[in-house]
Amino acid sequence: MDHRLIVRAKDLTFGYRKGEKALRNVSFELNQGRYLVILGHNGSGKSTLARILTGLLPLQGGELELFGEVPTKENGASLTRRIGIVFQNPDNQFVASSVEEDIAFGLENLALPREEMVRKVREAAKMVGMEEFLNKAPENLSGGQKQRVALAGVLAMEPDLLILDEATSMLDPKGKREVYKAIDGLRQTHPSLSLISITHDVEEALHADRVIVLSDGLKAMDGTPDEIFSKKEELKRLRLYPPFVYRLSSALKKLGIDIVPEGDLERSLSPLWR
Amino acid sequence: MSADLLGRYVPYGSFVHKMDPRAKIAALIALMVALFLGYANYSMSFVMAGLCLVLFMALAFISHTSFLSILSSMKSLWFMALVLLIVYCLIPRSAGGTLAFYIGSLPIYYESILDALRILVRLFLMIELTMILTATTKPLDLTFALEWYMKPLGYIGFPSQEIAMTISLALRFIPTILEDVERIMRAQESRGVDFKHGKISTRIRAFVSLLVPIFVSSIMRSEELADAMGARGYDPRGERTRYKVLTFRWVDALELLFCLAFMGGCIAISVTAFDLFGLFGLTVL
Repeated sequence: MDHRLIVRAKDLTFGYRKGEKALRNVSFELNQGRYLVILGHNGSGKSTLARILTGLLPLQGGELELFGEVPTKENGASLTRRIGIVFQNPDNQFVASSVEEDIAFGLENLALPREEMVRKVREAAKMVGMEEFLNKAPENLSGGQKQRVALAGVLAMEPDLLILDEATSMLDPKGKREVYKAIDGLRQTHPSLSLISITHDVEEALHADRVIVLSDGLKAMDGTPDEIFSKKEELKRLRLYPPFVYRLSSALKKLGIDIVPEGDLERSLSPLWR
Repeated sequence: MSADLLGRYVPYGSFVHKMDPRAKIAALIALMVALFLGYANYSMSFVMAGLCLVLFMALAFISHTSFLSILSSMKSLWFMALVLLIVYCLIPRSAGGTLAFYIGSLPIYYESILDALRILVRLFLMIELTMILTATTKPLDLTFALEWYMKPLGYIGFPSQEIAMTISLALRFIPTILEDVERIMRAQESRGVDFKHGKISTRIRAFVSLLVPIFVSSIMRSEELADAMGARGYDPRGERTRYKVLTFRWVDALELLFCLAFMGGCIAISVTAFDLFGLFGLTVL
């Protein structure tokens, strides 16, 4: 796979009010097909970062390159068009009155011909397992289903980078599982799609290639899930706790049982049954 | 979920649901004109309103819109009804009238009461008919229809597309905001706020405790919605294509013709001051 650079952020800084910084000198890079999780508590600056990447907030300080280009007034819209974002509240993203019309909203904005829209709407609905619900109204869907529609609406526009901004934080465990399953499926079928997930849920970070922990607008930690979750003291200082499978693995280690913590708990525990 | 039908689209595959929204809007306007025309006397006004009520009930039946839900949505209008009745009764009648009774030294005329009742019946039917429209038409279809009607104004720089989108979003978010109101009311009630009892000043204070969080949550919702729309490339002035294409069929034309004929008949009855009761030699108010 061609691991070309999708995002290059250097010393990104942003403040909503004078003298206060929501984001301070955050730098990172993201290659094509990679899954980056940005972890942090409320107010750590992670959503601000997502909004800067999507062009919803202006760049105040630092350097940003998207798909190898520096966003300017001229090319900004065409660059951010290649980025899809799914927000926290599924209700606030549902623009239309049925699933298919909502998925088509972004395609209408791209002024695509109707036949192409019909095809893309069906493909995107299939990707997230919502093809049976095309005629349903938002009030007839569960939170997880609405969020999958929001995901389909973004995927229909065929983005190169998908950002999930706390996309599962308002969902119940079943809804969360539905969205995770859709994302896992997506990574299998679209290996070139790059993903940034912004979350405070440490369990979500298990699925990532790389994790960045933000605290008070600063990059506090950066590494693979293994590197991050093995630094228990540092995590504790940041008021974060390792995912359940990591805590279980350390507890078992004390008893002399070795397991390799993975995103899938069952897979992690499977050597014990042999 | 609230059973309130106000502005809520109720999906169903009825004949009314499938009709072209442009035809439905035109038909609604025709029925409203018929409803608000001036007739020979009060009795004729009520007869014509009765005809509109029959039409409304037929539409509710065909579209499988719950009649009880529509009526329960109207219960919040009692305050307006009371204000209208008081205002109409208090306005001095220069033309005089038939004295009904006195409140203290204030004469109350039958005509004042009938005027209030007539306007109430008209408003009630107007809202009911509009509710049939919103219950059977997807908000986005309504927007398309409104945008289609406003298209000629676009040539003089009128932002028809933006206005249509604003209306559509307002309609789409009515049920969501109503659910917010219900949730916040329950939350405030659980903290001891009483919205239903006590003096008016106490109740107004209670409603302030509802208004502030509703404003805050609505602003937050609109902010996230604007971000979501912007992120999906929405540009109010940009070129857009349509996923949903409206098709005007012969049944739409038939329905529209029926409503226009009804309106035409009503205009004729109004202009000729036709009095059904006069035909039978009856004198009515």
